[in-house]
Amino acid sequence: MSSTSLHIGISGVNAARRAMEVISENIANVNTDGYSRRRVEQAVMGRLAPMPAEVPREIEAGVKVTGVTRLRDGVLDNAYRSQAAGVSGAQLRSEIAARAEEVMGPLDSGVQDALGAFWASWERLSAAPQDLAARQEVLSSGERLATSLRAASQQLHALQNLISNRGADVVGQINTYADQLAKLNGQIGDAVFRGAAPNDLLDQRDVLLDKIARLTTITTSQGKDGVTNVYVGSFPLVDGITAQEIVVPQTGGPVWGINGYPVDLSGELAAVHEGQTVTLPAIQASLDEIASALRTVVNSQHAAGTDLENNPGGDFFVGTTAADIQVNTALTPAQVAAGQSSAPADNRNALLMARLGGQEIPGVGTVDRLTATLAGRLGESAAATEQMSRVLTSSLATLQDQRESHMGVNLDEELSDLIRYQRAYEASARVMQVADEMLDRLINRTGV
Amino acid sequence: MTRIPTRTAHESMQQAMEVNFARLTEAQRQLATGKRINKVSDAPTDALNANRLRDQEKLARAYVTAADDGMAMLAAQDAALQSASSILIRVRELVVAGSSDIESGNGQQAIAVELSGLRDQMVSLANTTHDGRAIFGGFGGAAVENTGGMVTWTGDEESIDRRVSSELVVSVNTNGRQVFGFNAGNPAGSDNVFAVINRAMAAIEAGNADGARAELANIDARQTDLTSALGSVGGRVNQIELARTQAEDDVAAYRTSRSLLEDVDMGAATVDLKDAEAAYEATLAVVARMQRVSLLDFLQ
Repeated sequence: MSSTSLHIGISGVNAARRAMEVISENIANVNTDGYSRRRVEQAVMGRLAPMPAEVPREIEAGVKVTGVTRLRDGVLDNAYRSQAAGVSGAQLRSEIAARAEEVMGPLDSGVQDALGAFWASWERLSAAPQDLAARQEVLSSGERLATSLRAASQQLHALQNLISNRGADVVGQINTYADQLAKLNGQIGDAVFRGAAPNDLLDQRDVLLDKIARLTTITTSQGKDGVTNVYVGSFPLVDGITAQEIVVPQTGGPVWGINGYPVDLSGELAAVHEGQTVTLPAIQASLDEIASALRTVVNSQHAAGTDLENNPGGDFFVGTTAADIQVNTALTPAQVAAGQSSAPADNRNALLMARLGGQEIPGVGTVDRLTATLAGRLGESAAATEQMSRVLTSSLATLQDQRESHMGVNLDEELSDLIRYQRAYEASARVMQVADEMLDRLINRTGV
Repeated sequence: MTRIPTRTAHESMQQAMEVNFARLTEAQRQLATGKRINKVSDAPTDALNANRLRDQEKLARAYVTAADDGMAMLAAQDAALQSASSILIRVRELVVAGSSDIESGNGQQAIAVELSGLRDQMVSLANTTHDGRAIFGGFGGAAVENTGGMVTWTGDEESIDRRVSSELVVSVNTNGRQVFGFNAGNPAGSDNVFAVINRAMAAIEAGNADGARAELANIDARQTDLTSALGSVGGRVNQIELARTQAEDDVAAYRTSRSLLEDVDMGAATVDLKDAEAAYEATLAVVARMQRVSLLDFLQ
C-alpha cells in the first residue's frame, strides 16, 4: 500500500516535471515564427491489482504522460492557405497598378499637363506669330510633351523588367521551398517510422506550407508516415520526398520542368502573368496610340500651314511610338508654320493648331480624350486594386489572428500553468514523503 | 472566449501604433503641402476634373494674352484713324479755302504745299506699324507706297485674327484698302484719299476752283469711311475687353474650383491633425501601460 503511494508520488512528480519542461519550451518560443504551443497530455495510469478473481478492483496507480500535442487548428490552416495566395496576388496587383499610375507623371507636371501646355503654347503663338520666342516656345513645349511620353514609355519598360524579375523570384522561391519540404517530408517520415513525435519538424513544415501558399494556391494531402503532398492545380509539386521544378522559359508563362506543361497560375504568379501579358501591354498600346494620334493630327495640320520661309510646314513630330516620339530637330523657329502664308503676321494656322486637342480622329477619338482616359483608367485601377488588396489583407489578418489564437503562446497562461504544475510537483513530492514516513513507522517502530 | 497569445497582443498594439502614426503623418503631410490629391488614384473623379480645370486655366491665360495684344493693335488703329480723320478735316478746310482763294488770286501755292504735306502725313499714318506689323496692310509689310506723290496700294486685305475666348475670334486689324478708298469700285484706285488730295492740289494750283470743289464730295466720302472704321475699331475693342474680363474671371474661377478639388481645407485638416495627434498619444499611453503589466509582477 505504501509502496503504491510511493509509485503514485513518483509518477506525479515525473508528469509535473515533464509538463514544466513543455511550458518552458512554450515560453522560450513565445516569439518564434510558426511555433505552435504544446500541451502535455496526461492520463490516469490504471491497472488491475492481482486480487482474488471474484473481486476485480481497479487500483489507480498514478499518472502518465501520454504525449505532447501541438495545438493547431487544421481547418483554419487550410482556410489560411487557400486565401493567402489570393491576398498576395491582390497586393502585387495593387503594387503594379500604383507603379503604372506613376508612368503618367505627377498631376501638375506629367503627360496631361504637358499636353495642355503644348496647346496653350500654340494659342500664345497665334497672338504673336511674328515673335521668334513664341515660335521657340511651341518647339520647346512640344519637346516637353514628347519627353514626357518617352519617359512614360521608359518607366513602363522598367516596370515590365521589374515584374518579370519578380516572376522569376517567385518561381525560384517556390522551387526552394518545395525542395526543403521534400527533405522535411523525408525526416518526418523517418521520425514517425521510429515512433517519435517530430513536433519541431511539423512546425517547420507548416511554416514552409504557409510560405508556398502565399506565392501560389496549393492543395495538400497527407501521405504515409506523416508526409504531406502538395499540389499546384492537379500537378504534384511535392510528392513524398520528390519535388518537381517549375521553370520560366524565355517566352510565355512558367511550365513544369519535367514535362513542359504550363503551371496553373494563381497568387503572385497570376498577378505577374496578368501584369506582363495584359495590364502593361494595354498601357503601352494606349501610350503609343496617344503618340501616334498626336503625331498624325499635329503633322497634318502643320503641313497645311506655311512657315516664314514660304515652305509648307515640315514634320513637327517624328517617331512612330511613345518610345521614340520627338520634335523634329531639323525644325527651326522660323520653320514653325504659324500661318497660311509666309507673312510674319499670319497666324491662321496657329489658331487651328491650338484646337487640335479636340480634333476627332475617326475610330480613335481625340488626343485630349485619349490622354485623359488613360490617366483616369490608371488612377481608377490603382485605387480599385488598392481597395481590393486592403479588404483581402484585412480578412486574411482576421484568419491569421484566429489561427494564432489557437497556436500562439500566452505568457500569463503559461506562467499560471507553471504554478499549477509546480504545486502538483510539490504535492506529489509530499505524497512520497508521507509514504516514506509510513514505511519508516512500519519498519522501524512497529513491534520494537 | 478567444485566447489572445502574447505575441498577437504585442503585434496588434504595434499595429495600432503604426496605423495611428501613419494617420498623423498623412495629416501633417496634407497640412504641410496643402495638397489633398497628389495622384489620380487619391480621388479619381476629382483629380481628372482638376486636370481639366488646369488645361482650361492655361487656355484662359492664353486668351488674356491674345486679348491684350489685340487691344494694343486696335488702340494703335484708333489713334491712327483719329489722326487721319483730323488730317482730312484740315484737307477739306484747305480745299474750301483754296477754291475761294482762287477768285481772290493769292495763296494757292501755300495751300498746295500744305496739302502735299498732309498727303505725306496720311501716307505715314497708312503705314503705321504696331509691334512690327502694319495695322492697315493685312499680312503685308506696308499698306501703301509713295513714289513722288503717286501713292499705290501695296498691302493685302487679310484679316489678322485673335482668339479671345473658346468661342470668339476677333479681327484686330483694319482693311486699309477700304478705309483709304482703294476699293474695288475704283479699279484704278482713282478715289483713294491720296489721289483725291493730289487732284484737289493740282486743281488749286491750276486755279480750277470748280475742279477743286468737285473733290469735296470725295473727301466727305473718305471721311465717312474713316468714321465707320473708327466705329468698327471701337466696337471690337469693347468686344475684346469684355472677353478679356471674362477670361481673367475664368482664370480665377478655374483656379478656385481646382483648389477646392485639390487643396486641403485648412480648417478641417487642422482638426484632423489634432485628432490624429490625440489618437496617437492615446495609443502610446495604452501601449506603455499594457506592456508594463504581466503576471510576473504578481508572482513572488
